[in-house]
This record gives sequence, C-alpha cells and structure tokens, in this order.
Amino acid sequence: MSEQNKELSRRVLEDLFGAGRMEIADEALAPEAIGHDPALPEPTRGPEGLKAAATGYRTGFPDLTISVEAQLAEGDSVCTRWTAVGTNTGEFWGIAPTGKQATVTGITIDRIASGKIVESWTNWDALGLMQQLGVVPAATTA
Amino acid sequence: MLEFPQPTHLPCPECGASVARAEHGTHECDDERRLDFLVFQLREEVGLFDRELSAWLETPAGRFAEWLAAHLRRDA
Repeated sequence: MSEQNKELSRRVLEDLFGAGRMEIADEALAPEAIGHDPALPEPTRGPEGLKAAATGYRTGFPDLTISVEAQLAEGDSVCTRWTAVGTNTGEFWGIAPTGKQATVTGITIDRIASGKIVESWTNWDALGLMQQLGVVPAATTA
Repeated sequence: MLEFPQPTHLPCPECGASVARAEHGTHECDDERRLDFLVFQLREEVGLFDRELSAWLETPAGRFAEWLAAHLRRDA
C-alpha cells in the first residue's frame, strides 16, 4: 500500500505540476481534498483547486519540471522531497517575466485515504525563488 | 550569528540558466540559451518592431517593397 501511496504522490508532483497533466487531479484527489501551501493565499480545495494552483505555477514557469528526490511512507502518509526547475517566461505573482531559470526544493506530505489524497501540506523555498528572480536581494557570486 | 538565507542556485546573468552557487565560477553558457535569454529581454522591442513592420507593410510603399522582393526572388 505504501508503494501505491508513494506513486500517487509522485504523479501529482512530477506529472501534474511538472508536466501539466491536469487530469491527474481528478484521479488522485478526493473531492473534499485540502492542500496547504503557505505560498498561496488560501488552501486549495478539491481537484479544481489543485488544478488552479498548478496552472498558476505553470503560467509563470511553462517549462516547469519536478523531480522527486526521496520519499518516505508511514501509515496513511507519504513525505516527498522534491526539486523544481523552470524558466520564468510568464507573469508570476504580479512579477513581469524575467526569462531567468530557477531551481527550488520543497517537501510535501500527503495523507491518503481509499486511494486518494485527502490532505497535503507543502513547504518550499519561496524566498529562494524570489531571490533567483531578482525580486529579493541575494548575495552575488564571484 | 545567523546570516540572511541565500538560495542554493542563482541564474547566470549572461544566459539565465539556473546554476548551483558552487558552480558559478565554472559555468559555461550554452550559446543557444544565451541568445534566447537576450531575445527574451528584448521582447518589448522585438514586438514593437514587428508591429511597426506589419503596419508599414500595409502602406503603399510597404506593399510595393513586398511585391518587389517577391519579384526579385523569382528572378534570382
């Protein structure tokens, strides 16, 4: 079961967010699923909420790819460490496109019931993204 | 003392590629990516040029220039 749960979490990250296959939200999420991402103004609700969030990220970074680096499963939960890479060629959070490529890491914990994700908590390096886009100062390299 | 957090990667200022901070000294830009990045930065100017060229091609002088170019191409 834990391997199936890991695969479910991987598909949402790599195939939905990372490849734009929005239909996966309907297969992988329960209708009442809630997603918590502190970078978003409010929790996402259900498959449509997740699609909207993914669309927002993919609008800013149309070539976004996500790679799963490691997964741990325990009970009904899966913890996934991931890396996202994308080029900012679309408007994102009100920021005009920069053309810059960015790399960020994050961790998502999914809770799964009856083969569907019912709740997710994600924390990722939003500050690092803003620094890479030049919105927040970062120390320059030699 | 804690320092302000820094990202593990930063975009190359020349080509925009995401480069690990430790590799910034050895990074070599891909020519195609650098060109794409420069053109992207100039997208407003490129768009303006395209709009102005399209508008000019609708003028009598522009239509004649287009006809002449096609004529010369046929004879080449």
